[in-house]
Amino acid sequence: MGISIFPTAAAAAFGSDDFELISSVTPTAASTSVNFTSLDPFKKLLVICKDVELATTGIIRIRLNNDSNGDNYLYNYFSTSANINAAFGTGFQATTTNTVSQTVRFLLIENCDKTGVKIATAGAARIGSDYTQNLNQLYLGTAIITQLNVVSSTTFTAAGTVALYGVR
Amino acid sequence: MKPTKMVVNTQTQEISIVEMNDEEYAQHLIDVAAWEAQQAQELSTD
Repeated sequence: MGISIFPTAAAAAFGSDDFELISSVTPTAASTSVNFTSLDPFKKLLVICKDVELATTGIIRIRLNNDSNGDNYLYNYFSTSANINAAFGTGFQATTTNTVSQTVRFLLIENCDKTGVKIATAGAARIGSDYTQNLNQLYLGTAIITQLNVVSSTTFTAAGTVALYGVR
Repeated sequence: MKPTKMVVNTQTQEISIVEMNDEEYAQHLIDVAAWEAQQAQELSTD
């Protein structure tokens, strides 16, 4: 499947890579995570959460190989003061989130098929432009990625889609 | 009863809803606590 269904901004950012749709699901109400398992090795993985809602305000993290070791996830972000830290890093921080709909969040992870550090870029934009956010992140785990976990600190509602794309 | 998780087998596209095991539930509680700590820190630095 081509890139045409991506949000426009994401498509512009990811250029001509041939992303194929691996799976796309609507989270089940009251579930705490969406886990994509048995992945073939992909060079790049892209997660797009569109209009996904949480039952209460919380955070969505994305873990690789179900690894919750906080020492493996590093990120920096732009805010009112410069920050580079690993705090709260038990997974890639896709972004803080809440019950607001009409929001797109994405996370692009590179080097997934190699036994080395993975680099990730996350972004979020709310339609209606309340906010945008960009995070650059590192994953220090060295295993090839065979599982990707979209984890909520609360529970999902049955809204929106979590789609996983890959580049072979 | 523990919370559930959604598992998508990308080879077969089979979707299953299963209850967390003890280890996963413990991690979930840690996640909740970490989120609350993050919220508290962000509020204190705003």
